[in-house]
Order: sequence, then C-alpha cells, then structure tokens
Amino acid sequence: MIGPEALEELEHCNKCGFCLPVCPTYRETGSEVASPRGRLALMEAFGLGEIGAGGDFAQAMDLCLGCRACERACPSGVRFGRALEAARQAVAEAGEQSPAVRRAGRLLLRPVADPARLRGLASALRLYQRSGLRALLRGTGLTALMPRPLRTLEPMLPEVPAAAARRDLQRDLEASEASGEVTVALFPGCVQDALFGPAQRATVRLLAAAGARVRYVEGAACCGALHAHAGDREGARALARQTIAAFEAVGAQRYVNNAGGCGAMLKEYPDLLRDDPEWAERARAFADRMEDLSVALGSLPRPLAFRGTGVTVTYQDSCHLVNGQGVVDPPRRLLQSVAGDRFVDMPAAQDCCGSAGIYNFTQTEMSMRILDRKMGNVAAVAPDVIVTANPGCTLQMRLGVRRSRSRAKVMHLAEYLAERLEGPAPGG
Amino acid sequence: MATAAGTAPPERERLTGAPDRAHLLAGLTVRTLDGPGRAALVADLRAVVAADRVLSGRGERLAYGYDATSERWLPDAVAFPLTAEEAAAAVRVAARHGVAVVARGAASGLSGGAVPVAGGVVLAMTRMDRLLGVDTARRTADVEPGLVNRTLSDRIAGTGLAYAPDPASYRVSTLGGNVAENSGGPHCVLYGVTSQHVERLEVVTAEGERLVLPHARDRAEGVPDLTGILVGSEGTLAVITRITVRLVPQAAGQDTLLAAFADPEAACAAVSRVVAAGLLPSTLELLDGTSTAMVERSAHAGYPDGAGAVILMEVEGEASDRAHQAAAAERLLRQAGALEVRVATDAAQRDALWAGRRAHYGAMARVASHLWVQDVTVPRPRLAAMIREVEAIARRHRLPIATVAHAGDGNLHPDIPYDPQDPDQVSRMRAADREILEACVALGGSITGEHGVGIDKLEAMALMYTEAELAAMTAVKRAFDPAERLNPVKAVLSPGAARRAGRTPRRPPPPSDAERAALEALRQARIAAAGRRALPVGGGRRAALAFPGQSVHPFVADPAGEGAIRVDAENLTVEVAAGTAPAALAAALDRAGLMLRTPPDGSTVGGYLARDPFRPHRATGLSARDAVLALTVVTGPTPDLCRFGRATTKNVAGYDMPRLWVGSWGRFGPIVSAVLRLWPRRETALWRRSGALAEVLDGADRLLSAPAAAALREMAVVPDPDGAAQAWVRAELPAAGALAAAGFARVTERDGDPLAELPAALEAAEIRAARGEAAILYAHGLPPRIETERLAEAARMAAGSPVWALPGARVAVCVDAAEPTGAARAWLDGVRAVGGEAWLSSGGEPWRGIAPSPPSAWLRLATALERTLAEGEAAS
Repeated sequence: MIGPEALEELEHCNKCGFCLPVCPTYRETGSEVASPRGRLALMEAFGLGEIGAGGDFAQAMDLCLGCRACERACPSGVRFGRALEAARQAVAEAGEQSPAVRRAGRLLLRPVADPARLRGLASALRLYQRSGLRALLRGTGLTALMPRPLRTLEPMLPEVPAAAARRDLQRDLEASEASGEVTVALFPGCVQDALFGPAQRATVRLLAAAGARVRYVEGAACCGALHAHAGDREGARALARQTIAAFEAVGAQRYVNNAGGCGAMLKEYPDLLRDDPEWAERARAFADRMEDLSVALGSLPRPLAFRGTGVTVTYQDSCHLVNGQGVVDPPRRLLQSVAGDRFVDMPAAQDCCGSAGIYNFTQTEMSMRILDRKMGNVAAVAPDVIVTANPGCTLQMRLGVRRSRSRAKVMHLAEYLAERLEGPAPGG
Repeated sequence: MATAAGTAPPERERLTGAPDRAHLLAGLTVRTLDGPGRAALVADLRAVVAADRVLSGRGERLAYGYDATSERWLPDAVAFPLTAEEAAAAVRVAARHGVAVVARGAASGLSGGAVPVAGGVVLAMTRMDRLLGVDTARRTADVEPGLVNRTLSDRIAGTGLAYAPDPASYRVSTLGGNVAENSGGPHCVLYGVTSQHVERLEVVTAEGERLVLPHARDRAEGVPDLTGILVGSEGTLAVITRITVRLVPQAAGQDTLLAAFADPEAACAAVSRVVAAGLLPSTLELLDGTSTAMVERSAHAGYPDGAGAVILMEVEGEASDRAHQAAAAERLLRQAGALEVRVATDAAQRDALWAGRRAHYGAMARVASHLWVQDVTVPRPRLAAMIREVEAIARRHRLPIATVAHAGDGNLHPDIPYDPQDPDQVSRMRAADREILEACVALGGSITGEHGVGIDKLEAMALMYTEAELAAMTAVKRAFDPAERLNPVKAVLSPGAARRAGRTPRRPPPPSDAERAALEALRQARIAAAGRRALPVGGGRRAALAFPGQSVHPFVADPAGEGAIRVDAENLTVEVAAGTAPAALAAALDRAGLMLRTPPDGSTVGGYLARDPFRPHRATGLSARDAVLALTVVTGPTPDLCRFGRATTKNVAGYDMPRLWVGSWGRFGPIVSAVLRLWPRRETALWRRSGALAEVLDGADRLLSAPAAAALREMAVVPDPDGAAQAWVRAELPAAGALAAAGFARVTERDGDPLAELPAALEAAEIRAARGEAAILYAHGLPPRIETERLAEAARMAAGSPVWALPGARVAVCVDAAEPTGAARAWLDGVRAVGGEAWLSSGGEPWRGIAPSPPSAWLRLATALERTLAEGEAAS
C-alpha cells in the first residue's frame, strides 16, 4: 500500500502538466506513462485499487530517474521524490520488482551499506583493472559476453585508487588539524569513499585551505539514498541513525558532504525519521548543519583563490543538488572565480545525465538515450573539462565522453578546484 | 458498428472521480468494448501505427484518461501516430470498430476537452512535434500539432518573428491543443486569440480522410472558412495534423507598469481610461485584493500593502515610442486614482513586477489540496461588476475565491481552492461555480474565454444559448461527424442532451423589427425558392452572380436598409445592422475617434461580411473575419434568429459560428447584425515609391520584415508591363522612419489615393469577371525569390489592366479577356509549382482551380453544413 504521507502528495497534484517538459523520460518518449503526472496518476489508481503493483505500475516507477526536476516545476509543491519512494516501496512489498532492480539491489544496495564489503569489492575491481584482465576482455571482445547493461556500463568504471591514496588522505587530514580554525565534519560517502580517492583528498585540501580542521567521519554509514529510492525506507532509516550518531560523536559545528545525491538524502533525514521520537530532533539538528562543499566554501574563514590553465570548463548539475537542495549558483560562482579558465554553462545543464543512482544498471537503454542527448549539449560548449558534483554523475559523464568521443576530462568540482588552488596548500 | 443482436453492450466502466455523465452519454452510438473487443481494436491499431506505439495496458490507459480537471476516464487504447497518414489510418480503424477518437496534446486543458468520456482511442499527438518550416517572408510557420507552444517560440527566436498567443500553459501545451481550444493568454489584448493566428489546417476527417482546409483569409469568395470553424472546436470536428500559424514581428522591447488601486472599480476605470486614450498595451492584467494578499504571503513580490486591486500593464515598441506610451499610461493611471505606480524598464525590474502574478497559481494551489480555475468573460466595461459578483459569491459560499483577470479582454479567472475529499466543500464549490457562470451570462459575457467548454461546461451551454443556437451548433457537428465519434459529448450541447440533462436553453429575447423582418424574409424566400437556394443579398450588385450555374432565389434580408450603428467606445465595439452602408459606418466611427482594422467596402456591411473579399493590399494580414466578435443571423429549419459570439475579445463558447457566415455568400442564412471590434484611430499617411520592379519589391520586403511592419495598414505594389513598378503604403506615423529607409516618400492623398480606390476597382473587375467579360487571377504565398519574375509576367499578361500585389502575401491580376489564355493558366501553374496557391475567377466561377485540396472535398463539407443547418436537430 501507499502510505498516508505519500497519498497527501498525490492529492496535491492538480494534473496541470507543468512537470511534463522538464521530465527527461517524457522528453524521450512523449508518453504520459513516462511523465511525473502519469506516474502520480498511476499511484492514485493503485491507491484506489484500480491497478495492481506489478505490470504497468512497476514498469512506470522503474523508468523514473528520480531526478526530481518535476518538483521544481510543480506549482502545487508536490514532493514527487517522496511519492516515488512510497510507490517503489509498494512495488517491493508486493514482490513485483523487475529482475534488473532485484539484481541491482543485490549488487549495490547490500555492499554500500557495509563499507568493509565495499572496499573489498573495490579491491577486486582494482585487480580487474590492473591485472590486465580488463585489457584482455576488451582486446578479445569478450566483454561481449557480459550481460548487456554491464557491457554498456563497463567503460565507466572508475580507476580505483590504490591503498597509498588512503595514506595521503590521512596525512592531509592530520595537517588540517594543525592549521584549521573551525572544525568541519566531512561525510565520506560509500561509493565516493571507496572509488573516488582523488575527489576525497581534494575536498579535504580545499576545506583545509579555507581554514577547516577536517574530521573524516569514518563511522558514518552510506547515506541511504539508494535504499530509499529503491523503496527500502526502513533500511535507509537504519543507515541514517548510524550516520547521525557518528557525526554527533565528532563534535563539529559544521557538516560537509561532496556528493549531491548523498547531500539531498542527508538533508531529508528529518522527514525520514519524523515519526521516530528518539531521532526526529537529532535528525533536524544534523540536517541544519549539513552543507554541500560548494556552499560551505563560501562561508569558511579563509577566502580561496584559484588559477587555471586556460581551459574551457562546463558544469553538469547534480539533480539532487539542484532539485533536492536548491544549490544552483554556489558551484558556478566557484567555477567563475578561477582566473585563466573559461567557464561556459552548457545548454540544459540542469537536465539529468541519466545516471540516477542504480538507474543506469536497471534502465540502461533509457539511460543511454538521456546521456546521448546530454552529450549533444556538451558538444555545443566543446569543453576541456566537465565538472560534476556527484559520483554517479562523474561515472555517467565519463561514459558519455567515451560514447561521444569527446576529448573532455570529467572531474569532481573538488578535484578541479584543488588542482587550481593558489597559495600554500597545507599538507600538499 | 452496432453490437451484435441479442447481446447487451458491455457496461462502461466508471472510475472514481468520474462524475455521472450517463444522461449525456445516453444518445451516443459509439460502442463500449469488452476484453476481446479491445484486443481486436489494439491489434488493428498496431497493424496501422506500430506495435510499440499503441498502448493497451490498464495502467497505461489510465494515464491517458485525465487532463487538468479532476475527471478520470478510461480509453480502450492509446496510439501515437508519427505522421498524418498514421493518424488517418488510426481514425479509420476506430471507425471500423465503431469507437470514439479523442485527439490529445499535453492534456493541460482545464475543461476536460481531452478526457475520453466515451472510451475509444486516444490519439496522443505528442510525437508529431516537428517544426516543418518557417517562412520569414510570409511570416508563417508550419508545425505538427504536438509541437509545444514554447518550443516553437524558442526555435524561431532567431528569426525576428514570434508566435503571439501565450496561454499560461505555454511551456507545456501543444499547438494542436491550443488550436483545438482557441487558447488565449495575456498578450491577446493586443494580438488576439489563437483563431487570429491560424492560417490553415490539415486535418483527418471522422471518416479518416486527409484534407487540406481552405486558407482562413486568402480564399476564394463563397468558400466557407472551414479552418476558422475548426479552431476552437475541441477535437469534435476533425483531427488536426498540420497547422500553418501566423507569426508577428518580435517587439523591439517592453516596459512594464504596476499600479495599485483601492478597489476593483477604480482599477477597471483606470483600464478604461488607458484604452480610451488610444494606448494599446500588449498585456493588461488585474489581480483582485484577495489575490494580492495571497501572493504577498507566499512570494513576497512586494506588491503594495492592502491594495484592493493591482494592475500590471505592458507596452511594446521602440524605446522612444515605449517611453512615450509608458509615461502617458503612468499619468492616466495616477489620474484614475492609483495609490501607487511603478515602472520597470529593464528585465530585472520587469521580473520583480511580474513575480506576484506568476506566483498566483502556486499560491492558490497551496491553499487547499485542489484548485479549480474558472474562466469567464464579460464586456470589459462590466469587469468591475463581475469581480464584485464573484466576491459576493465567495462570501455566500464561504470560499476563499481569488480572481485574476486579463483585464483588457474582460476575461476573469476566479480560482477556487477546495478539498475534493470534503463533500461539503465540493458542493459549495460547485454551487459557486455555477453562480459565476450565471453572473457572466447575465452581464452579456461568455461562459468561457480561453479554457473551452469541454465536458465541464457542456451543460452550462444552455445558460448561454437558445435551443435554436444549440441546434445550429449541433448541426455543424453532424455535418462533420454524423456518427459522433470524434471526441463525443464535448464542446456543443445538443438540444436533446440538454433535455436529458434537465437543462432549459436560454429563452430567446424578443426580436427587433429588423430581425422580425429578416426572419420573415427568409421564410418567404424559402417558399418562393421552391427547392432552389434562397440567397440573401445586401446591395444586390453581385447577388445574381453568386453560385453560378445553380438556380438561386435572391432576396433582400434587411428591407429596412440602413440600420442602427451603436458604438460602445468604452468596450471598443460597434453593433451594426447588416444593411448599413460602409460609408455611414466609417463616418460614425470617425466621429468617435475609432476605426476598424479591416474597413468594409461594397454596398452593405452585411454583404461585405458575407463575401470577406480577397483584398491584396491589407498589410495587416487580416481580413473581414478578424473584426467580427458576434453575429446575429437567421438560420435553421424554422428559421430562427441566432446570436453567436459576444462583445468581448474572447468571444466564443462552443463553435466559433460567425466564422461560417463570414465569406460563405449567405449560404447558411442571412446576417442580420454584427458586433465588430474597434481600435483607437491612429493618424495615418500615404507613402509612395517607384522604380524597377525588383528594387521596389526589395524595399517593400524590407519594410514588411522590420518591427515597423506592425504600423503598416495597407500596401500595394503595382507593376507595369515594361518592368517598372510603383508601391503605395498607408501607415501609421511611427513607421515614417522605416519607410524613408526603404526609399518611400510621403505623398498627399489629394494627389490620388490608389489604395482607397483599390477595393472599388477590384470589385468592378470581379463583377465583369462574373459576367464573363474578364478574368481575375488570384494568388497568395509566392516566395520572394520567385516573386519578381511572376509579377513581371503578370504585368505583361494583364497588358495595362491592373495588377496589385502585397509582397510575400497576395496578388490579384485582372485580365481583360473572357476566357483566360494559355499564358494565364501557365502563370497559375507557376505559382502552384513554387508552393503558392492560385485560382481563377472567370465566367462566374470564383473558385476555379483552387489548389492544393480538390474543391470537391471542401464543397462536400460546405454542402453538408448547408443541409444540416437547414434540417435542424436529427432524430437522436
């Protein structure tokens, strides 16, 4: 069943259709079934008992990216993301998940909740990349034997950082303790932490340069976004409690994250835990302190200066940074402040790239259609660097660069900025 | 078609949220399908469309059962055609299965126009969304119906042209939907509604036949404006598959003014002052006190505290002209008692002033879980009275109704927030809704301005129209779609359905003497005609020449001759009897400081409207049809007096019936009187240029594509046989600079005014042609590359007889020979070969050789219309 909170969202939909033109899947298909309004209507019909949780209903919910662009377009303020989670929960409860969603759940949701397991997987992945197995499979065309989604997505697997990178990170953290003026607790994030060492290290360096004592909150769990989006709200709650407790233990006044998708989830903990008397207030305090890196850098004690190398840079917004947290300008202001580089907004920068959590695994074909449209917009700018603000977007844009034979380099905002940081970088 | 004998048809499934419409559905013959029936339909659709472009799942069908009203219905299948041919094939499949067809765009409509109340096939037009071409010379764009309004604007932004109608849904709604609903928007006050921006339609008929309808303006006399009747017909007459829209020059810039008033009366009085002073704002919006308070609370737009009404006004034009207009407007608003006036001259300031208006829907939508957006019009001088009525209704029903209005059009949107789960609130909302409709009708308005009738206001049609008027609209439906398969039970309420719904049509008002005389004249004429066509005549000069080769009985419909001319200067309308002489009307308007954009010529105003003659020199691109807001006509089997349209810009509920009477030579009955839209008179002058034809055309072309084109009224290029040409222009004075730049010199009318003499000269030629003494070649839509050559040829062919052309638009060539020569035929073919349209008037056949649609197609429809209108209601 769809819970009462979500039903309330449905009742606020006036079916005006203002969400249609901003929806990436509606743009691709022109089909109401693939639109926010259509999905809400199906939820309504499901709630009224007119259709079941399987078939058309489950498919329609699966095809949604959950980018929440519709929320910003909605004049009635319907929180679509919330309704979608409830609908996916209903699909999961009814055992109507598609095999792809179930497989993605097995492959991704369990490991991300368990950092040790994720690191183990990362090591295996690193072995695959470094051992020559990848080269062998690619060289012999044996990647063709992989299941199609994996085959499509294989090129986007990031180069997994070596163990040495973690030691560098530790050194930077220690250096910041000496130089910092305020304590900032940094959310590691599961995937970001395991697979994006350079972005993590760059984040620490930027925060330190801005005057922060950076505490890497190792005890924090995965934010729970993948679970919530897949309909496992209870699983998300457990992770949220663990994360909140870990941050409280650090004793920092300011919390920072560097992944738009995680950030939106972290900011939504008060909603997630609102019916939990023990945690509701703690979740509010937690969310109030949590900021995206791009926002935090604007208000830390030391101003930063950046010097670029004469390249053209564009920015792919993170959906959940824009639609979930309303952060549009801060990253752009930082990018524009880099002397010597040229920042150009690409057309439709705020449109989803098609990554959307596990979406590119479960809906590979649609994800690629959306990505190819995105790369058309990228081409209009012909950038040397595409800056992103979320690990999923980074992976997807790297794949896009390969598919479109672009020469652009894809970098997390932190990496791009840290490379261009002027002045003595502590611990650098 | 019918259900197999002996088996009861499967019951129509009713979803939660679908009101009981059984009494309306009772008269329908379309089938309801059971499971196997639906499977067969889907299989046949898949065979003609494509397997993956037909949806049949229950959830998928549910997603195609609603629009922005709260109605929910269930179609049997959804098909996504990619081409007109696929759409036609899908309509044929539906016809074979005896089920309904509902064309659907974005389903952002607010009247239930796209909801499939009788099931059947939903044709989702969203994937026919190509921009097929933009013709900057003719200022038109060809689009498929699924193209989103905003996307068109974005795609043509670089051309210096714009598509004017901008309904609030423009980011979402499709042009097909806009045409079907005759959408409005804030810019209608200057540019008019969608109907004035559609030049031509390609459609699929109820039988699944593809048809190119005659051009809305540039068509041969006697050919009914079938494009015009289609606009606003809500998908009930045909499925639109291609649209040629008219584009306008992009405004050079806008200034925005905001003025706060103590109460709606003061605000509306200020609007009247602005209009009376001859200013032409491009938007003129009003928010009532409740709205102002509401948006302040949510959007903090900084609107003046405690204002009883706020006006937002925009003026367009070049910076200097704009500054002058804005200053004048500000002065007038202050004189009218504005508490405060703010003027914005840059984009940021403009956005700030608009912020509250833009936030209105959102602010209201958050008051309760649902928001009902009502849409009614009244003649503009009655706007304040209507706002007060709405306030009283809100108090009576304890509802927080907030009204925004397109004040320049007298078009109000009272917004009613309500909770659909609360039966008491729902019943109060419905009662208030009904009272709002009754109030607007009582004040002489229309029950819809721009949202359409759909299913939501179907029964309310009885408030506005008499039984005869409802029957006439139903007759139009029957001519196009006798089996009622296209979007059934929408837009028009048949007298039978009104009876079943327990609705009494409006009682006709007692006829005036002239009206009684017209009724009697048609009755007598029908008897005397004895089976022949009874043809009303005005001055009578051309009557016997109409419908050549057919037996007609001409009769004078208005023996009283010149009738009353009632100018309503505040409303900018004139009501005029059909028998009035154009010169008398012109004199009356002149005295009032007003004018018509397309002044009548000929013997009588009625005759002029009935002919809507082809006049090449109109640089506005408008014709007789564009001035008509309402017509009183005599029609039907009895016959009866019918009044269609209202004295407001957004004048139509149901079919735009006046379109059928304008230009159709009286075949549907005589016009008795008309309400025409007026404009403040602007000073004009005459300019002239001569030189080599190519140069003259080039100069004219530059002029027509400049923003100053908006100030041009008349223009004609007259080539002579030796390769030279002269061009005359009548324009408002602000165009003087652009005219000088294009090589034109100002001349005085005393030295001769060929533009003023042109209609009479052309009419004389037309009469000669009808008598078989001469011929006239008409053409429109010549591409500029070809134009010089074709005009030079025309001048040689005419050998001294007149040739008139408006570059990029229309050409009329008089040939002094009874039977046109081979050269003339070659010329017509040459025009057609480059995508233009051309036809010949000679020997009394004004529509010989119309391309591209075969005359038989529209003639069949015209004849069917004539028959169904004369027959009255069918047995059902």
